[in-house]
Amino acid sequence: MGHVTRVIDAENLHKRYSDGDRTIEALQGASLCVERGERVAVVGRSGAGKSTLANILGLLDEPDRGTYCLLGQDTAGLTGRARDKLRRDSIGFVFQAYHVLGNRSVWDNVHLKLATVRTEVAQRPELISAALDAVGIASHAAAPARLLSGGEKQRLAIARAVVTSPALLLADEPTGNLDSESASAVLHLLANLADRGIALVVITHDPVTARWADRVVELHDGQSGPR
Amino acid sequence: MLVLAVALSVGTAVASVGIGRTAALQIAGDLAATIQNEVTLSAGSGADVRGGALFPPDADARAAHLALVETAGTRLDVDAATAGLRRVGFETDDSRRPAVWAVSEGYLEAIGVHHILTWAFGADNTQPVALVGGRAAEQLGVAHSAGHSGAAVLVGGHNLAVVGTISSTARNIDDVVLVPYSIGVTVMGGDSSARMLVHTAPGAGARVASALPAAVRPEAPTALTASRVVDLSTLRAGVDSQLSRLTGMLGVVLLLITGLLIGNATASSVATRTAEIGLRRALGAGSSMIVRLFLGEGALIGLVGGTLGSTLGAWLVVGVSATYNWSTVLSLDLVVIGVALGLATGLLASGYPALRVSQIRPAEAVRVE
Repeated sequence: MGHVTRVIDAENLHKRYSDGDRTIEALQGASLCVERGERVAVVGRSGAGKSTLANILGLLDEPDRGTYCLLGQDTAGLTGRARDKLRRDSIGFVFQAYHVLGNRSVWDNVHLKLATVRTEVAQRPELISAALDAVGIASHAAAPARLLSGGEKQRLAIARAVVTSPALLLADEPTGNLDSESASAVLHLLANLADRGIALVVITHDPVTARWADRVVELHDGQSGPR
Repeated sequence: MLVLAVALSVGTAVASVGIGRTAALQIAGDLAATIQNEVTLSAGSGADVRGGALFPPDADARAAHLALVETAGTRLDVDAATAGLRRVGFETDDSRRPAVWAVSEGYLEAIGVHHILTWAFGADNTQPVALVGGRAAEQLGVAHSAGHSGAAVLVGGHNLAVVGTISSTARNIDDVVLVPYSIGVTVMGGDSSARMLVHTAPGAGARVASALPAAVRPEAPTALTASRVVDLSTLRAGVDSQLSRLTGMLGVVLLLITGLLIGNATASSVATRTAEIGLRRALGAGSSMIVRLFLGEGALIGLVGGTLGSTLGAWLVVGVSATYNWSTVLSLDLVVIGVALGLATGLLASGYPALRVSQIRPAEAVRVE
């Protein structure tokens, strides 16, 4: 494939959901392009389609219409297994609710990603250590994740998301549950990742996060502003 | 699923009591039937010790005439020394001499011997014939004679033509030579040691036994005494069968309950771990990987449970046997089967919840907190 600089190329995405008798037009022609190392914030009111867009970009859902190319590969028509593989190899996720496994150690939480990707066993300790070092929680490696603070849990989630050096990091309200100091620390980490060439798409309501981004895309009634 | 599990548990409790009572009734019925459908008639306290005939010539017919009697026949065992059994023209090793029974046609019918020449054993016939059991034939060297033609045996000086080889489902007659009753009486000089075997309708043994002596010897009923015979092999088979059905059915019901409990636990696990499922899908796990995770957990529950259960069950068998001084019957196969059953139950029970997992949309699962 070569070194593709455009990570996301999404054009005219449409998505409709049915809820009993109601039909919800979540996306009505949203478009987005993101380059390597670029920080893009997606903003909009509740119900504007931000989460739907994030799900489609993360290959967790498929558009009804429109095109979505990830790293130059058209995702339309991919089998379920192919989508899982592309997501596994190319995308990292950070969620507002952290989604760490509280009963497992910090180490095991990061290891979960490597086990899913089936990284060589011999390489895993070094990768995990590097990821925890990068987010500043290496000293908590053996601790159960439930004992971490909110900010530390989000940093753990970031470590897990980037341990395999994905091309794209999708962060859905990464600072939504954090105080300002922790939120600032998380944004700093995300900026470092962008400097390493990872494309960042951050879904946010937070104006501070929106200002932090290189570019802001606003969704309104399922349609996007500047690409 | 919990409702079903409770239903099965209660049902098992009710069924175990009910089936236990039912099985006990069946066993009692089998017991009653096996001891009440066969009667033996032999010399009683009033028998004529001066050597008069114990059984009249038509004794079989008199007994068969009674209501509820199905078959009746007489038998007189000829002792080896008196019989001097050997094949005509051959010497027979004393240690290998088969037994000799003098029997009536009715007795052959009672023990299930069917041969074209059983009429020759009737009261009105004194044909000099003999029927031999399989091993008896070999011992006498008549087994390989084509149709036994020309083969004959000597019993008490009587030359008897061997007319066939027979077997019985009701008695072991492999080592026996059967000769007509009247010839046996002649050889023995009387029938004081003879006995009559009577088969009755099921459960009619007691009633027939009380009427039999008078029916056969109306002029001297005390000359005969009736006793009932227990067919232990049939009884044992009946009891084994009833108990096996009972315990087998309880075992199946208990396994069903276990399956439901495991299924419920797995389904609950799926419901409470939806967010984790969403996370794993986001990390790149395919739906098949998630399904294998839950199937594996179900299998592990079943395997560990099956191993512990089999071990506990085995120790219980040993403990109960020791407590009641019973001989322990426990095979390693049963323990291994128990472990395998646990594993299979765990896998099957977690199948449906695991299938549900594969249908969870990752986009929705990741939104669950």
